[in-house]
Amino acid sequence: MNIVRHQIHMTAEWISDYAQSIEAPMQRIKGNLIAPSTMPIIFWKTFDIPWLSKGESLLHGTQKFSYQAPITAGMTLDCELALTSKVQKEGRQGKLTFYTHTLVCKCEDELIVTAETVLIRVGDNHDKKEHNS
Amino acid sequence: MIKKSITAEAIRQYAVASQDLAPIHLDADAAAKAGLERPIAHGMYLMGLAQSLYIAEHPTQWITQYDMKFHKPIEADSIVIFDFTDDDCAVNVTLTTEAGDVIASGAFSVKEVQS
Repeated sequence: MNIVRHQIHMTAEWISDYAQSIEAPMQRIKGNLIAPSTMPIIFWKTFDIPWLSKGESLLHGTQKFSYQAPITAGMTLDCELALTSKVQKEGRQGKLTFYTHTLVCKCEDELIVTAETVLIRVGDNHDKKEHNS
Repeated sequence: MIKKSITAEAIRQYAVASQDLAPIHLDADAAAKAGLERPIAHGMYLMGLAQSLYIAEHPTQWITQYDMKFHKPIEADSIVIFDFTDDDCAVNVTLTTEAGDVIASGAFSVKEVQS
């Protein structure tokens, strides 16, 4: 099954480090730092993803985030990353394979954010891939 | 419209923070093998930077929805132009090179932060 789960604790230091790397202003709600909206993409690095392998680059096609509430420092998120579709098309560069992933993060069973990531492999099919963007 | 230099050092800092250390973003030889003159910025660095530039001007807002499509890579030490346009329900953002080539495009929605 192409689903992996991981629990992630949001620290102020981690949010601050990420925010600095994208020059994001520090925002707070009720005194707690708010994670920049794009931060869930780096949650990927906390997962062991069996359907991806290291060493092969994929293109990043599209990215979406949809929030019910901000991610804030101190939250513990229950996250689930799933490969939800794999579609092959013919492009100008040959065969293209589109891998759609969905990342869902909840806090105390309340949905916080859903993120969709489409990665593209150019060329012939392989069993495992790694994303690179 | 905001012009921003995408430096190799900023890409390196993002690579460390995100732990996306793929050679194409950091290594000149890897870039050359891919037919590029220099390493390229992470798409997610540019998407993050776009939200940061907007929030810097609108510090009482947080982003509730954010979509982006990545059209072409941008090499380190290039200028990227971030263009934001408001419509009734979203802020549209387009990233282009100085020559006008579209690097990425998307849209986001915002709400006021309830402090």
